[in-house]
Amino acid sequence: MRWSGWLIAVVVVASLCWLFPLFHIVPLERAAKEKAAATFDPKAFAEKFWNEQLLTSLDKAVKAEELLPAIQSNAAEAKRKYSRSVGVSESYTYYIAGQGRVLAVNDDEVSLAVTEGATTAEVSLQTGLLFSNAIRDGTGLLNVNDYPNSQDFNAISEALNRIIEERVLPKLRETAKVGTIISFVGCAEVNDESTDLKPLKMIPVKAEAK
Amino acid sequence: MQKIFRPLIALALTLFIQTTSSFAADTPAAKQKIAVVISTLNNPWFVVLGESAKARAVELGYDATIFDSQNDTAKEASHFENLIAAGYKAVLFNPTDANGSVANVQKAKAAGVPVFCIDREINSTNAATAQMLSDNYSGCVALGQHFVKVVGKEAKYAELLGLVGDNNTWNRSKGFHSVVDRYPGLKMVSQQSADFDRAKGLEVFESILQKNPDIAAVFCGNDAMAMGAYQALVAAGKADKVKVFGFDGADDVVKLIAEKKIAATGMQFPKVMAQKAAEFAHEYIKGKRDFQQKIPVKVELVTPENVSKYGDYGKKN
Amino acid sequence: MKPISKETFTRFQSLLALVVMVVALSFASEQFLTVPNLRNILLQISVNLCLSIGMTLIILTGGIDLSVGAILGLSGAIAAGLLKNGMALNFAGVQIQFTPFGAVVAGIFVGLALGWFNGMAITRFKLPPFVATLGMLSIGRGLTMLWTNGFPITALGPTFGFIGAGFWLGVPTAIWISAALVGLFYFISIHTTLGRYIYAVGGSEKAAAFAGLRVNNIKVWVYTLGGGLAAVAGLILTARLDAADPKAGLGYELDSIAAVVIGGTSLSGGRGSILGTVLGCLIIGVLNNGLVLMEVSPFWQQVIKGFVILAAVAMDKLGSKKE
Repeated sequence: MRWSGWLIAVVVVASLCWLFPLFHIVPLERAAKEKAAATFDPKAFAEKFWNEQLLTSLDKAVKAEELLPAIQSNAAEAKRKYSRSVGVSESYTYYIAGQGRVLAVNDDEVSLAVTEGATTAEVSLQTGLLFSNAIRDGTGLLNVNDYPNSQDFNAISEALNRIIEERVLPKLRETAKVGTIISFVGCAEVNDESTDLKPLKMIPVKAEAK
Repeated sequence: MQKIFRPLIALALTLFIQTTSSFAADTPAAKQKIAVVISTLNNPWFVVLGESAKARAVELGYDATIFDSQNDTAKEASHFENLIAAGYKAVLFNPTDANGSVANVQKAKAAGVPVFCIDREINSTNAATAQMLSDNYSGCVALGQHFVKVVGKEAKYAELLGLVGDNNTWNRSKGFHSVVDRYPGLKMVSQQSADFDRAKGLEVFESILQKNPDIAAVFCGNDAMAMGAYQALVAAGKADKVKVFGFDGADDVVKLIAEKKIAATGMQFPKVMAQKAAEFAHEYIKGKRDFQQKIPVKVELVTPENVSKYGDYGKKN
Repeated sequence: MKPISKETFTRFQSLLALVVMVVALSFASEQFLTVPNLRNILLQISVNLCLSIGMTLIILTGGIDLSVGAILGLSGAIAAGLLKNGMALNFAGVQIQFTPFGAVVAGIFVGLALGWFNGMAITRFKLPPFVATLGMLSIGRGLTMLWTNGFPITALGPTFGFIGAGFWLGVPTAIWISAALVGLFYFISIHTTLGRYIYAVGGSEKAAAFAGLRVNNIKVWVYTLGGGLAAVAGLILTARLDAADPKAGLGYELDSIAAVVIGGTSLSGGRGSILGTVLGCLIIGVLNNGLVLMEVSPFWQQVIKGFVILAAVAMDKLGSKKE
């Protein structure tokens, strides 16, 4: 009697588990693959964005010979006309292209004179470690509203900066000597009214000696 | 005697509730109601956030009530159910958790009540009407750069984390480390959580100091913990040797920055965000529908050089 | 007039208190007596109800369980984690992917196991219930943090969500579940030997042991059931929020003890009932909801709730002195 009761219980439980399985067994590789597909990969995204969107948009940048005089004559007007800003903030960004003569090369910047005959630096290309959202926010190609999780959006910024550190900066540091002419495209982030705009500090997307 | 006593207490309480509530809202019933749901009122920063949102809503002609979720998504869920049933027209919402609060916002959306997130985001772009978000990550990137400038490229430091389950704890920590970790000479000798709490910050940092007497700086995930760490340093007689970095822009920290006793903090703008959200709700009720989903609000670096511009949870005019 | 027992009397008092509150709130707020609002109240108490059933049984034996909130958090987190991420068995190269049903079973099993551990600590190691369950509170919280890394586990899918957010015959599933548990445990407490033994142990442990009851076994059973019920509460809460928050259930033991006490169950054991606890939960739920509808400031809400608990216990003491 007693053991038959147990037997019935075991059969009932087993058939219940057959009908309503408690778990499935999945190979680890497949599970890992599914998980990877569901998570955002900032590096892969930045790589794709860099090649397919950013490098094809360089002609959309404002010409430096147009922007720099505009800033010098009326900074507020230049900001209104050429800059971009995200959300509620006093900071704004410019997307700039131009060419200039190297005046000085320091540890973490290359100073350029853009206007003919200028003797003080008008643009400085940042060549040290990069920490800024200038590239992400400056081109207007990426929109924060497309990212449900802002952490993903922040990670894109870091990945883009890393690409520049690896691909653009070493060559620039190598070729930039006082006197060489460099053509550049990049973004500048301006903090607020009190920021010194001369030189304009830029992160280069492209910088080549002529 | 006791038979009537218990009902009497209940009756007295109900009357009490009615009187206290009539103090709070002694207005004609015609006024529309706006709810302000705040993750916790246990931290002065969030009290400022809630009170500013409420004050602006009242200025705009609404009845506004603050709900305290006590950092509990379940309490938050109850608040949403109750306020939907009570006929509130809009919710100004400081979410408890980026993922855990999504379901609550969706509930309100389904009931036709617009939700405006303040300060913290929810991980969804189609539930809330708009989100005013403090950009913690970028704020801490700036703070990290300043940290390197002040502390140098060779030093030992400690970090006090906030609540480990909170998104902003990690947004701040990751933003800071995205900068500082790139300098191999800067070594983090201790990373502990002090739950965003001043008393806990004091306690935990005392232990850290005991074990690592030679640290040069401490990065704290909020200003309450920074104050705690500073108190520990004062007690140990090391206040001038170890540099303290905070985040939030709390009044006492801003004052200590002016006295050059704390190195820097990131100023968030609770008042601006809360007021903007109240204005958005007003516009929505008036008929506007096209809002930008995410509106990042920049966090500004406060240092002894620019501290005179800041105070009272924002910028001085 | 027939003399009425102390219990019926206390229950009558709670019922009257509830009725008075409901009537007063119906006049005070037009939204109070509406179907969606009443449904909200029931939905909101369903979690506390599950916890409080177990707590009532435990308090009836003269014990206390401070770990129910922590058990709730851990069971919910484990169920959610197994459902969402499965369990990787690296040595075998496979991953065990749990079905919603499997996750529920695992969650309840965790609750039962922790409850059983409480019971063993109290009976075999002779720890006072207050101390044993206080330890479990900390263990449970810590394990939850370890399991989740401090982050909520979210997006659990509609099948699992049905437990907390689904409807059956127009009534939320969570209410069905808690109502069924109330029915089951009311039956157990009144009509079964286990029920009678629980009251006997709480009335006088020595007398119960003298009468040949295996007091320790009864206690282990009660704490195990309490753990299992806390796990059900955790599953409902997790499903309702579509997220297992590592902080879930923080402080819920106090709400649950409050409901039991307001429902007239004596903290010294032996006296009280499941139905009284249901009333206690309803009173707390109606009070919470009413305070919100009346737009009382959140700071005042806590003060008022405190006074309600004090008043209820004061009544209890007054009653027992007179007897």
